[in-house]
Amino acid sequence: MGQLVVRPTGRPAIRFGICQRCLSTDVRAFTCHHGACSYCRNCLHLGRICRCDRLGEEDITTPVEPTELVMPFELSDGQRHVSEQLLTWWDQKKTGLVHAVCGSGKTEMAFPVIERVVNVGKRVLIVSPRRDVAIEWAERLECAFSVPVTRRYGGGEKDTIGMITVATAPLLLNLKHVFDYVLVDESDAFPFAFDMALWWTIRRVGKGIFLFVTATPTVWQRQFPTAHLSRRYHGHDLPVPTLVKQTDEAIVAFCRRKTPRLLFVPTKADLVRYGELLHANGFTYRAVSADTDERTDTLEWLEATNGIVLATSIWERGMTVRGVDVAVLDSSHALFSSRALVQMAGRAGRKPTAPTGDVVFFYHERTFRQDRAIREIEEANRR
Amino acid sequence: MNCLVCRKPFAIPWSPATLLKRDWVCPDCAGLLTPLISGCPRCGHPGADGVTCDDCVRWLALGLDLTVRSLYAYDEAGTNWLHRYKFGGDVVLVNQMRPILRSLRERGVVYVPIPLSEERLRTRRFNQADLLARMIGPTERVLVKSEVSSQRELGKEERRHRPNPFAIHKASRCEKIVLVDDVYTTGTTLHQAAFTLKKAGYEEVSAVCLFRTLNKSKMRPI
Repeated sequence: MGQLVVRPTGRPAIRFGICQRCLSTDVRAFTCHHGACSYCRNCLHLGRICRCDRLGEEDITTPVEPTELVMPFELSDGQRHVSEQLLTWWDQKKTGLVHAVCGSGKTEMAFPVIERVVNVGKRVLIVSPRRDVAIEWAERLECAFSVPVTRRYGGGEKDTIGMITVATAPLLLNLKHVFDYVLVDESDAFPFAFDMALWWTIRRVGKGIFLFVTATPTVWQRQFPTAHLSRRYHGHDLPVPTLVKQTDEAIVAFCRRKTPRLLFVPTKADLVRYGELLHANGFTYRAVSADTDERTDTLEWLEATNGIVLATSIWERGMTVRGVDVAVLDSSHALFSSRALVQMAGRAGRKPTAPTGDVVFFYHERTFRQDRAIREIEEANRR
Repeated sequence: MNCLVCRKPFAIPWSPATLLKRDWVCPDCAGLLTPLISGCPRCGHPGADGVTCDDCVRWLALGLDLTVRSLYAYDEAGTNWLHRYKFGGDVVLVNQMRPILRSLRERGVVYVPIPLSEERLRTRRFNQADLLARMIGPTERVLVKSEVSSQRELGKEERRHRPNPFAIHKASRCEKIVLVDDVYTTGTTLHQAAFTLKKAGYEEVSAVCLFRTLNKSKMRPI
């Protein structure tokens, strides 16, 4: 229980080719000063450990303190129902899944249960897949809670633990059995879905009680008791995507609209390709990919000037633009899973002041992924 | 396959080497380091071809003649690479240098890495020059180093006037010796080591160095 630190006594840091700190198998042999040894390449950023090091556990010493909660707004009926469900799960010490559609106010629903957990004297962790999402969580939590929120992501304080901690997964590697309640936000998103070692570390960080929050749960996550919320908090339906055969004219026609337009493309090479198409037709646009540093600037620009943004799937979650129209170019591409398509469609119509928006899937060929995405959205609207 | 340096996946065309080689470097990362092709014949510092640079003239005036083969310029990318390798401890990165280091191999030569002091070796856990030397060819531990403070914060003049920390540990049977080091900044270390070896009776001493610091650049000295 506590933080894993390198110590003269303790258990070996690397056993059976598995790094005991980050649980990865990216362990490479090298020659230490005393002979054959191996070290872990995956957690070099926490300081190198090799087989001759030993890991000990150090207790967390930050004081336990109670908190007060000020809700930013009243919860709607559906949200209150879900948050009561969360409280019962916590009382029963159960892991659960919140299946709530994009833009239904998932953040605020979790506030009551966070308050209860903290007031019992337990620690809460919120894991999110991306730093942008983590920053948003931290800001909202700071507005609502009186305890300081610890930010454990790149750019924040990386080695502190408070009562409420917001973190990205890679910075949790050296913790073990610390948090009594772990909220995994966007739990089907990129790192958790593909990197099994990352999931094991998150499991090890908690003490066994998790809450998965997502709009598109994986099959594995559906095994847990589920709370559904299929209304957005402004009560309007989710915009249902329309399928349009992809031609250059159709894309240009979509870009002629006056609203902010967000075009998703599958790969970075497509950013250039479709960018040239837009440029040839006299549109000014901005491109967003994982390499782009000024993503928040681009977001503000998009909202302020009703511009066009070409984005890769980096923007498929956790961003809100007022009154945006969404198009998914080349939506039959294999990188666009049905889950990604649902998330991208969920970018439209998130604000109560602009509850509708158009979603267009441009296709070269029809796929089951598109159909499943549309069916899921329609199902959520029916529920 | 993931790139050794940036760890992003990239495609390798199939060849028999695909089965044997584990560490691949993607073309983007391979082009980062600047190779030193022409320049000073004694230390590889870029400049007019075949002209001995000022630093080397100073060493020659002191009566120390040592030819150093430098491979890469110690610029921004070089600094990053070496910091990851040496201070970050990502030892596997040397495998990127394996082909070019292996091509320097000669017959009848023993490669002697610049040693670390005992204490430094214990904290760093590996000798960065030793790993480089093993990539080239047969190595022997000829030198030992007594404890001195780190050179990282010292200026150029302070670096030059330091007592020689090297001593002979065990004589080598081989006559020709090639010293191996990671960075050539002023050359003090290499020249001191070569001086010790020459005093001990080795006639042919040359050196191989991975990076050569560029003069008049604003890089922080290592």
